[in-house]
Amino acid sequence: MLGNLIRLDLLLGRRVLALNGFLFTFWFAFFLWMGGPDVSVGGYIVLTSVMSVFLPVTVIVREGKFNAAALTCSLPVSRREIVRARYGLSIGLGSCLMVVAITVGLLCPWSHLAVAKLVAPKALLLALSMIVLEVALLLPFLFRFGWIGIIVLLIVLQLLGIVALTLTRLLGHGTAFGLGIKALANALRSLYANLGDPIFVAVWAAVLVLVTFASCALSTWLYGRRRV
Amino acid sequence: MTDYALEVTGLCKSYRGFALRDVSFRLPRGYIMGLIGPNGAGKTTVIKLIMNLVRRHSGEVKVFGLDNRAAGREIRSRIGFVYDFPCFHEDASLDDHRRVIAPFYPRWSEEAFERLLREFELPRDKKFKALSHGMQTKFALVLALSHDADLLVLDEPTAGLDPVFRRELLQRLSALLQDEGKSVLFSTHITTDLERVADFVTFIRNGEIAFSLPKDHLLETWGIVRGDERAVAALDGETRKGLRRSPYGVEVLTSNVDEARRRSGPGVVVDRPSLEDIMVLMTGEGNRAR
Repeated sequence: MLGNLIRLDLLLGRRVLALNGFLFTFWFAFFLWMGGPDVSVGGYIVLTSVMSVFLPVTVIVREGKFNAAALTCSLPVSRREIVRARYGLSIGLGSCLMVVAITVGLLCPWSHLAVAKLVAPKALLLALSMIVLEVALLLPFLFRFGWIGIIVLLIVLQLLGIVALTLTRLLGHGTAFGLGIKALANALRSLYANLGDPIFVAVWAAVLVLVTFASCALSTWLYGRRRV
Repeated sequence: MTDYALEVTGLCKSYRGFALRDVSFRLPRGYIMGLIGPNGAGKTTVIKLIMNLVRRHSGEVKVFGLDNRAAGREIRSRIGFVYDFPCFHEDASLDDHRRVIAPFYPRWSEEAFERLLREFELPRDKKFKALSHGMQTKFALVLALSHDADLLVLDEPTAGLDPVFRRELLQRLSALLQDEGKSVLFSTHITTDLERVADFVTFIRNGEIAFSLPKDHLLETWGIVRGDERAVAALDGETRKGLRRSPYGVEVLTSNVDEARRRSGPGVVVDRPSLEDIMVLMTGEGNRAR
């Protein structure tokens, strides 16, 4: 049934998938051209992973656009299965687009990314980690509030970014926001640095699995209570 | 022991400004039940609760003896469902929908799907948004009828259809029951449709069941008494189900037409009611406490 549900989203959303896939690929190349030699491998992976996760989101939100949740939920499947299928679809499609992003980074003539670093296991693990974490963050909002939830989340994140930048400018780097942003950046750097260590990778993989299960359980609970 | 396709017992659900209270009715296997009631009475909510599209607060829904929550997947594979508004991907073709929906149903019949598309004159390569409202409803019916469902749950299936196709659809539903012993629950505003095919009629009003009875019993034992206020005054009892005043006198709906004939005064006219009469009189003034 999970396969049928993933097939349903892919087949009915194939046009938007093809269009957005092309646009996002173009954006990866544009980003490399704009950034020039300033783009680091880690930065490129983090930014393209965000775009990559939005590809499956654009497919799933179409259900809300057409009021088609009633169709999906009246099929002989449980809501738990619908949620699981969409986590699978999001991680799978997001990972596929990450592969495209890495290929663009390798083949684009104006890319300054070091080939050896871009295809190193460390970089690939970072890409996968980012996809999993972003899916775990976004999907509960999507299941509870539909596409409006995603838009509200994006607006809130944008506003937080603006507030953080303004406060940092006005009050210096010692504010809670400034420290928070520094801590986040340091955490990502530290994660990237440690992904070469097999024991760390094993522990980190367990953390990712736990986060995904927790997010999936929350989404199932939220979607089970949603009126369609 | 009667074999029921659908048993709804003590169903409750409340939203802000609306509550469904203690809804109970039963549909024996092999019969058609019409669910009628004014706008906002709760018909669609009942159907959504049966399909488990919304969560009930209390009560029980059993389909073929199975709880609709615990055995939701099994139950839905045996139900053909038509929603009261189009819920398909508008930019996908009818054939795209078939390709994704068919694999979910173990008893899906390609042959039935093809035949129904031809009979309903639906172009399989056309996008859903290019269809008229009536054609969209027809397509929903094609899907509901293509997987050999044992129970059809149809929310306003005849709305937006032309009279010729409406009659054809009703004949098809009747034939389905005669040939294969299937059951049908359908909500409608068009009560003449029910008079043609329904075996049972369930009337819902302000979130409560006003009655759930065999249609023949309803049309044989219920009546409308027309006269002036004095002549119908004696009909104020348990059997009085509705009342309407007009410039020409009073109309009283009674559930015991024989008793009404005996008790009413001279100068009254007693008629057999249509389902529309029953719905109008039970929804009108003076019926809130009944």
